[in-house]
Amino acid sequence: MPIQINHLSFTYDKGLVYEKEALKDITMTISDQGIIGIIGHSGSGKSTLIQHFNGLILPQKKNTILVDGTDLYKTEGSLSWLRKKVGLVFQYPENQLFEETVEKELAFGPKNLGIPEKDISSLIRHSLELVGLQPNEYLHRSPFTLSGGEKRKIAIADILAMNPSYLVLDEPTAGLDPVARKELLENILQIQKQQNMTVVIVSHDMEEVASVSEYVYVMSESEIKVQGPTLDVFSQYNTLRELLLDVPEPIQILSTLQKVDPEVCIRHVDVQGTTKEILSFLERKRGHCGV
Amino acid sequence: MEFKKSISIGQYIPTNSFVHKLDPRFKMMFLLTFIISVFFIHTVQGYLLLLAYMLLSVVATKISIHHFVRALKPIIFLLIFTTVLQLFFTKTGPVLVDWWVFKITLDGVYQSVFIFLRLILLVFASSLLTLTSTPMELTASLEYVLHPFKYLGLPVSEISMMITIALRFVPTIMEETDRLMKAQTARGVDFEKGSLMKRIANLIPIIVPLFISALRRADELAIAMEARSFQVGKPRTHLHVLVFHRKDYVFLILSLLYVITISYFF
Repeated sequence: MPIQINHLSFTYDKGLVYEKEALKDITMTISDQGIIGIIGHSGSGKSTLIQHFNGLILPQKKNTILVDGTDLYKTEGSLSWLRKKVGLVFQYPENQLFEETVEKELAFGPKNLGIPEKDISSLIRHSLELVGLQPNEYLHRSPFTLSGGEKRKIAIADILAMNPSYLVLDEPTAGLDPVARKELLENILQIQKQQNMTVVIVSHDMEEVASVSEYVYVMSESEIKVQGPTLDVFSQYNTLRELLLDVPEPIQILSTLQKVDPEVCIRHVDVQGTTKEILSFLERKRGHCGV
Repeated sequence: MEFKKSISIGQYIPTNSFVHKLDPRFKMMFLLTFIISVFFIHTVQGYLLLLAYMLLSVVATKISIHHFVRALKPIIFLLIFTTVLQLFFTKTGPVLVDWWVFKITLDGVYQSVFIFLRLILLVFASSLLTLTSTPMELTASLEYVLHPFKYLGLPVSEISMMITIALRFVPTIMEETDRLMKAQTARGVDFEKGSLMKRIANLIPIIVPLFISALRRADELAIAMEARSFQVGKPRTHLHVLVFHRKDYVFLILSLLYVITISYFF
């Protein structure tokens, strides 16, 4: 069952001087599986959008957002079922750590959701393994003694410990060094495969989104401007440039080559695939010019 | 978000009215006189005259009256409580209503209107200052008003620097609190339900990270200030120097005359 969003609009501080329209007529479907990317500059409305997914912001109209068939407009009672279903990792999530040990930190979410004590310990261990940290080594350490990258992973494990069906990450690699960044992205890919869950990555970094996601939404000025399978979106070079977004370098190179030789195919964002494509382009050229 | 709306510190609303352009020191001194006169006046008629002045000023600010009314929200309980108390517990004067245990007298009605107006005047007057002056203007004028105490050994510029910094970080920390509340809500905390003990315990996941970041921020700010040659006890200059203009004098004198005359006669 997906998260369905139909013509969702949202205005902050309605009726006041500071009134600000953050979302304009958003329609999208977050389906059951895979990794979905949402790209946009800061202030484009992406954070407001994802806070709708787990009911931190409730919709202002009926039937605009349905999570597994339940309309979030005027939901009655506790929303903890929704918080469990949709795990939302905020930007710089390491700032939310507060417990004395990693173990207590990770147990916080499941306890709040009323998961029985006996199940919690295995959930914690599993989620630590998912983010690539050895449970025995980390469980009894204080989260404040860890490195930046490790803290980030603990914060993501915090959410994974609640065993969500959807994992939404807001700028997961912001402020990390290149090594930690690459590691984390690989981790996210693995988590998606192992847990068979839906992962939504929100970022302003095209390269990052391109390297992991299968489907991409591009947001600008509170609207979705472009959407589609990742490579289709990135091949719309000029549209993205108009939105002042950077296209990943491999795609920039290939689309320049495509203008010379229509046989060049844009189907890779990684270095290896791009190299192959360039080599075959050169091969064709050589035959052509008789060099 | 609700949390953010309930705090009215630094709720500066820019419009192009002349009230905004008046010298903040004038507005601050006038506010002080106004508040003192509110406690001097002891008739409803006097209050109505002050209210007329107040409403005229509100119109002059070009700010919607809703913002002034909203400032009453935090004291709404006090407002209702004191008004009702005055209404039912004043026993002097001719009786208007006498039903069961309730007995309302003319003096009671008078008293409750009086108290009601007093609270409204105080809130409106302070909102008039905070809605039309930026926090920076306010601290600059505070430094000016406290200026004479410098000779008594009071570190006036340091105090005003502290207030400036505190005010500067109110929105930042509020934003951070909002973010943390959301982040912990995403981890299953329900801030609106549970027993009193549970709710107090729920604050720990907010307060601990908030303190950690506040201390880190203080450290960074101290280094940044030192990098820009800030030294405690050394005199400093200001980018924006406040200057009294003729219109400031005119408004100050006219307004003070009005308020003081009312306080004298009513």
